Amino acid sequence: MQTSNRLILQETEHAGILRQTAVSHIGFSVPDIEAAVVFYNRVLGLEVHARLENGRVRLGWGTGHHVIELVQGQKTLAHYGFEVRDAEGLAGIRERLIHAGYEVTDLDADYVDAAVGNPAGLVVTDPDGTPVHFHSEVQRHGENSADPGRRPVKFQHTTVGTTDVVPFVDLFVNTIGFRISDQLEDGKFTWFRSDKDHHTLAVVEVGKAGDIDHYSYDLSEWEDFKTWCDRLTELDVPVAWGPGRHGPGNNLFVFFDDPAGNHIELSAEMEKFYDNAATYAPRRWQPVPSSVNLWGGQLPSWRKTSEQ
Amino acid sequence: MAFGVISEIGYVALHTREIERSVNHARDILGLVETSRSGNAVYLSSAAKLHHEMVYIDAPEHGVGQIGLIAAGVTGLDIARTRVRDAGYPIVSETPLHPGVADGFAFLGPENFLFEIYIGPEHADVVPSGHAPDRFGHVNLHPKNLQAMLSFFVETLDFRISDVIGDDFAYFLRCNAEHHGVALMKGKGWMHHHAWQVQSIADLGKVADRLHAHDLRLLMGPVRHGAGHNIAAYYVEPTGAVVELYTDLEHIYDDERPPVIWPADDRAWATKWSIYDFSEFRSHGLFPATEAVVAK
Repeated sequence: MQTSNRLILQETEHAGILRQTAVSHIGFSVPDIEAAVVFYNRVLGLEVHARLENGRVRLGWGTGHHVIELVQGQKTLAHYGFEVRDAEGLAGIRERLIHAGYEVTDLDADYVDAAVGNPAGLVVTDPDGTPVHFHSEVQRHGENSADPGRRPVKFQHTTVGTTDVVPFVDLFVNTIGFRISDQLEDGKFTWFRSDKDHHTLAVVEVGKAGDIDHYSYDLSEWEDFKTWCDRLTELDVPVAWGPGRHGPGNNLFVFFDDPAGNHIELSAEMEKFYDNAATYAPRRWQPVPSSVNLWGGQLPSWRKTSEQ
Repeated sequence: MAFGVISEIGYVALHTREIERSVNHARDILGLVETSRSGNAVYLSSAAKLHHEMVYIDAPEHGVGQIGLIAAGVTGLDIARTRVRDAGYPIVSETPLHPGVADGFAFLGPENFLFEIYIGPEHADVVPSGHAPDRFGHVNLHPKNLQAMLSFFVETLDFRISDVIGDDFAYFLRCNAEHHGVALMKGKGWMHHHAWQVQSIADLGKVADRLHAHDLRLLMGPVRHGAGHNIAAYYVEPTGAVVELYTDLEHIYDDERPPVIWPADDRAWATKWSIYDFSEFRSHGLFPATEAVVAK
């Protein structure tokens, strides 16, 4: 068997500083904003929270912080954001970023809608030039009151597609304070955690920088996958991959596409890290299809591993 | 209520050259329990707790031993016996092939598949496995001569056609309210799979997790079939036969329901959710045993 190169991603002392940080919102451009608005409302139950200048549209669960910002343009990732609930978390992130030589600007308070207390935030660009938001606490009760049969529970993680994973590890793990949960042995796919969830961010080499690989919503349990797969079929939205179970994260999954071709994941039973004091060495999974689906099956055309 | 001479699909007997491995696999993955052993045969059942729904027979080669069909009472058995004889299928045994049933006979059907038709399956006093399927449900055969096999089930044994796929490609046949007890697809002359009913999609995830825990994988699924509406997951057992676990199968209470016709190019009959390449799935199967091995 042809074996690809092995690469062990290195963590420094900053890894794991963040314990209460999670995804908050994601912005992406699509060629047809109104088609996306209709799709996200019909399929995922997301409502229009605000229409902004330049045709931008924010969608959410009807109350609380927004989830998606749609921007007019060719399909690509515009920005992705995290809510920092760690005490002194934002200040620490800013200090470590500046010390490491990253350029940091203030986040427009407009992006911290439904803020708890005074909105605050910062922006740093990731290695592919995409702005990353970190902001103070927001109300998220719109998410967690969802009916999982018709709406997912919450926005759960973003997976960014890139051409080089290593600078992402330097930024997110060794500077900002995420921690590596798992990686493929070839170093081309890695999963980062910033709270109890196995991953709130993942980065994968896909031969193209700066776009969404996929992003994911939580369902509450396995039974919901049946309800969802049947609903998607009724809505003429083809299921692209799954149901199955990922190795890294051990979560159940199913994938489908939005009209612009963004890959959307529904997920449940993700591994949780409850014990901050426990020592855990990131696992290194073989870069083969059966690592990304423990149950076997077939991969969609867009999911590649460097070995078969 | 059965509308014909057959009321239920009873069991499948497989020849295996690795009997302990086959039995252990059926216990650990599928969740069957051994009800008894006699000589070269091991009898297993699900939560249905019957004397046998699955029989593994120690043999030199893997193969399908026989497929057991339960007749609609004494009258059904008598009529079936006459019809089978009149149709010219060679009778192999005028008495049951295995212990644990009241009466029955066996004969060689189309394409060398051996069938037993019987009545009065006995209950087994066993504790079902914690992950036992509910019951044995159906077989899927891939005959070379589809029309001859179809005629055998429909003309001789009173099965009704629930769904038709394409032109001379596949038929789903029922002998009671369950959408299919036998499925036929034109193929290489083997049995593709034997299928077991489970309670919910949760059980399909659990069998996939059990397979992974044993360094094995699903062959296909979970998928939602269009024909039959069941959700199913498949794996390959040591004999090479495919095993299906299914739930949510359509029940047809109108005996006169006309067949649902699926155009050949409508893949929703096979999968309504994710679109899969079925070529590897259909490359597995188990031929009828070439050598008769009698259970001792």
